[in-house]
Amino acid sequence: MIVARPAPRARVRPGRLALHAFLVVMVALWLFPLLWAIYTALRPLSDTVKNGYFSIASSLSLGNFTSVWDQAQLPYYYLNTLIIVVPGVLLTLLVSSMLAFALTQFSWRFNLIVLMLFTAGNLLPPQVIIIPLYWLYLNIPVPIGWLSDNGLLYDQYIGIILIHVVFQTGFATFVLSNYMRTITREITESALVDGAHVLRIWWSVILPLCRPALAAMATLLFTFMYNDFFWALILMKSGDKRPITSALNNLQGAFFTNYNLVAAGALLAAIPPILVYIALQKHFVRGLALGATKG
Amino acid sequence: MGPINVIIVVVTIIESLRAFDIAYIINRGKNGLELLSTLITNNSISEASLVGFGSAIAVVLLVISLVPIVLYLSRVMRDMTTT
Repeated sequence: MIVARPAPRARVRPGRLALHAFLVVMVALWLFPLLWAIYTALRPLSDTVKNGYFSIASSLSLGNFTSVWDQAQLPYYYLNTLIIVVPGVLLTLLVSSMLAFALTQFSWRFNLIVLMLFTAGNLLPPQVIIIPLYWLYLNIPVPIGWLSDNGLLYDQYIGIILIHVVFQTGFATFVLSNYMRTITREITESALVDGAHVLRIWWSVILPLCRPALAAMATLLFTFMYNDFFWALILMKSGDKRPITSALNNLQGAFFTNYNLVAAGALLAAIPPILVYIALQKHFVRGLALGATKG
Repeated sequence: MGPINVIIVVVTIIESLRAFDIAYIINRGKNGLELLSTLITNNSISEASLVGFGSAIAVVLLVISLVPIVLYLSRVMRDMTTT
């Protein structure tokens, strides 16, 4: 940016120059793997087998993209992700907005402790709780047929949705309660005086006021749940129910992996969050500012 | 170091303790990529059934990650109660 300026009014300070040099280097470092993935995905396998991955491509084509789309049944796994993410986001928003409403609009002795517990639970590495969770999922019966076809939480969409809701509720509650704190309690109190039930206040008074925060949260939660790899890997056994992120893992063979195909699949899998990000960029940035930090 | 820098450092430590995906995708967390998180998964769920050993590593990871979490919470909650 500094270089492009035709006649700098003030002398460019060396500190600022160093900062921009540093930033350019960081951007290049960050973009390098992404660009290399695109480059690899465009090359046919025979080319990389002959010349290696560090070489000039003799031919570029979109063949890997079309073959991974058919061969790995990507549309099917996109659908799996959708089945998990959409109810997950909606349920999380519902539960966490209720919680944040209760924690900010009413005085209760344990308000701060509950909030601290939720935040702490969200910051914990998920691997800490995976062993008891795994056995719980194998032993909890789910008798309702349309929710679970093997009678368990394990290896079911419902199980993955539930663990996402539970794990993201902490973060969402933290962010939404930060936002709801700015709403004065007098609104709740006057609605209460007018005879509205608590649930009614939550639904028709507080939620409409929180619409920007809810939109921001929804975009953030979508990307978090979409990008998840761990839960679907451990809590699902059969490959045909996995969401797209862990289904890509199936492309890795035991002895041989077609990395060109994996690169193409990974790039295709990355498209929906990027589209959501571009479409809802305004909300996304605001959501990051609301939360200040993501745990 | 402003207070926000402390939070950034603490959150980075927490995030690095949570690292799992990339190490697992590269080589299943073996041959030099043994993070605590991949060790837990490999020992207790994937192939071996050393559930007790895996749980012990999980407790170690819990204790280690509680330090930055408590630091982070005390910072954030102090700001919340004063303002």
